[in-house]
Amino acid sequence: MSASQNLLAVEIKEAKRNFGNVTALAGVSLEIRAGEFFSLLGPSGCGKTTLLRIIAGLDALNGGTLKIGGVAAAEIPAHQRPVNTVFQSYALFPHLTVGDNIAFGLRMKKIAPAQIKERVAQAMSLVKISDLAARFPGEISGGQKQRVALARALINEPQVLLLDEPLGALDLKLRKELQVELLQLQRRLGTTFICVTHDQEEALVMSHRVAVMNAGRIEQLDSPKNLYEHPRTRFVAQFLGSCNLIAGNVTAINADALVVATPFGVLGAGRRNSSRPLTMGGAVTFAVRPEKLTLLAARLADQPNVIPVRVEDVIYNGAETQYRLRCGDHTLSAVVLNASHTNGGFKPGEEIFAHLAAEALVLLDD
Amino acid sequence: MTKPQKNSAAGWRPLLISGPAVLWLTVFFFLPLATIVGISFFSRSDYGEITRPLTFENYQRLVGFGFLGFDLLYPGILLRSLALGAGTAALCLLAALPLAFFIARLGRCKNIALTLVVIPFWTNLLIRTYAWQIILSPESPVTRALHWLDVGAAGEALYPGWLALSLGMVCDYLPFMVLPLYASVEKIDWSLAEAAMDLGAGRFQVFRHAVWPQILPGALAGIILVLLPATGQFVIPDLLGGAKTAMLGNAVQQQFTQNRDWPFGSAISVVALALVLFGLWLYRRKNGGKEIELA
Repeated sequence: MSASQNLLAVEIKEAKRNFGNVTALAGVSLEIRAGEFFSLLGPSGCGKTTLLRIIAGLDALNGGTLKIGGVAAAEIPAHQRPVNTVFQSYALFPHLTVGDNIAFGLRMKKIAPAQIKERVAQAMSLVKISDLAARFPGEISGGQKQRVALARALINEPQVLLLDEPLGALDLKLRKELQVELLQLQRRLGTTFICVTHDQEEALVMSHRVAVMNAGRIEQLDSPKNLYEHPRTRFVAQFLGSCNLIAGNVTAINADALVVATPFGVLGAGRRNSSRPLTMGGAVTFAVRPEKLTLLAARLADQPNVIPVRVEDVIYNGAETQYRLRCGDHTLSAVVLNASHTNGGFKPGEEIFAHLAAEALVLLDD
Repeated sequence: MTKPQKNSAAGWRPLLISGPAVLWLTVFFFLPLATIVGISFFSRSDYGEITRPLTFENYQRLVGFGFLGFDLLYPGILLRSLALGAGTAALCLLAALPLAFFIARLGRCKNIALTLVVIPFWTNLLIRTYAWQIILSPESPVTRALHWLDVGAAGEALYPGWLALSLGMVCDYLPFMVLPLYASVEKIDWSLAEAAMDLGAGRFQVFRHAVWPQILPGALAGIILVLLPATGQFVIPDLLGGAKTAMLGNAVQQQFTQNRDWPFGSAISVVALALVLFGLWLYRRKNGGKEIELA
């Protein structure tokens, strides 16, 4: 990166953490830019929460370095770090009112009571819970608790806000609402948000950049669009959305294209700048998103990358229709948007054709 | 279709099950209690019988306004007993806090540790108290070790005295504090401590704001369970504290036996009971109307 270090909110190098024999972090390096909405995405046990707790100071590194705002932070105790956390279960103090919960951080800093009162009122209006000040956490709903936890953390004006599965405990509709709100809040405040989630949609919707983690490592760090359109590994391809994986062997390598023999026939694909060296006859794997398949009733002459398939299953989903297609011993899934009558409308047992455009075939590294 | 027989069963079954207990409590608890309260407003005849007139004199005597003018004897007994109870409760709380945290972190050995805490109960109180006399006698190794540390005068027993009294009382009542406290400590939600830390609280503030509120119910339950019986305790102060003056417990006993003054004995009992109820009322108020929680 060209800019100086103060543009980095968090800098982690070779972070390692073991719990007994279990490796939670196997050497993670990460740079999170100031003002960024950054997500750590992965299945449970991938080390994302451990990483968040290390940034918060609630867990310690076994190896590697951590900088927050350009300052070495590994030795700074949690209560002196310029970060605040929204905990997974919110961890609101049950014996304090909502107002006192939000004021807690400022009280610890011995801020003048008049100022505390004013800032609590501001924080509460920021997250739209101004009328809840006198209630106790046991008396409010899950969504409201989430807002209280957010206000309690944000009132301290942290350099970095850490969110541990912030919407995990809420029902789907509320979650979608709050996703948008959280995103707007972050864009408005400009605070660096680091969010841990196992929900891929949440990560895609809210983040500027996402690090997909697996087994204590970062599999891929990219913008949501790149992650989805150009996954580098099978894990990323399958963890984000659904994906067809097509294995094959290289039969020709051109300057900008690749010809591969697959169980579905010979397919031409674009040559992405893969980190993997390509050799003639070498095994490769492509990822193809189901919605990138085009289903055709008849084959056009000379059209490449078209394979004959039989419709096995049709699942109508309202906005879209999912097809399971069979070609020999292999299956493919396809999704067709129910936008018109021209596309789709196929029935189980029908023999049709699927077009896999060259640009839809994403070459994977593994 | 609902099952009608089940509904009718639900009607009489609870009554049948709780009936004997209710009957038992009515006959052997509420009626005697009401009798005691009643008797406390009667007078004593010259021969020790309960007679009229109805009077508040017993209560007046208890707070110091007897027929001989103002006398501190009974208020003194009351205050001394309360001080003994409060002191014991405070010492037990201090001793039980680290113990409860220690046991809660033991993992598999928890139950063994809890059993060890309760085991002293298997020995009679008197025997345990006499055992302290032996441990604190002039020639015991413990006494010698303490003398070497400049505690007490060389060649003399460490009882009677404040040290012996505190040791005896704390040892006797510690389990009543440890068990409810442990029940609270074990349930502590440590994410609250982490939240407090995250919001800028140092070690002491984390304990005060995030941990202590969570163990307060257990501490209050323990305080009540220790304070009340310790206030009525008179055997240990007698044997280890050298108290020749009476405590609440033997004051009541004395009135009902030697002095044959049932109305005054009843009044003392009623006041003691009122103190207990006051304590419970305070607890309920402080604890949001919840009952005492035990393990």
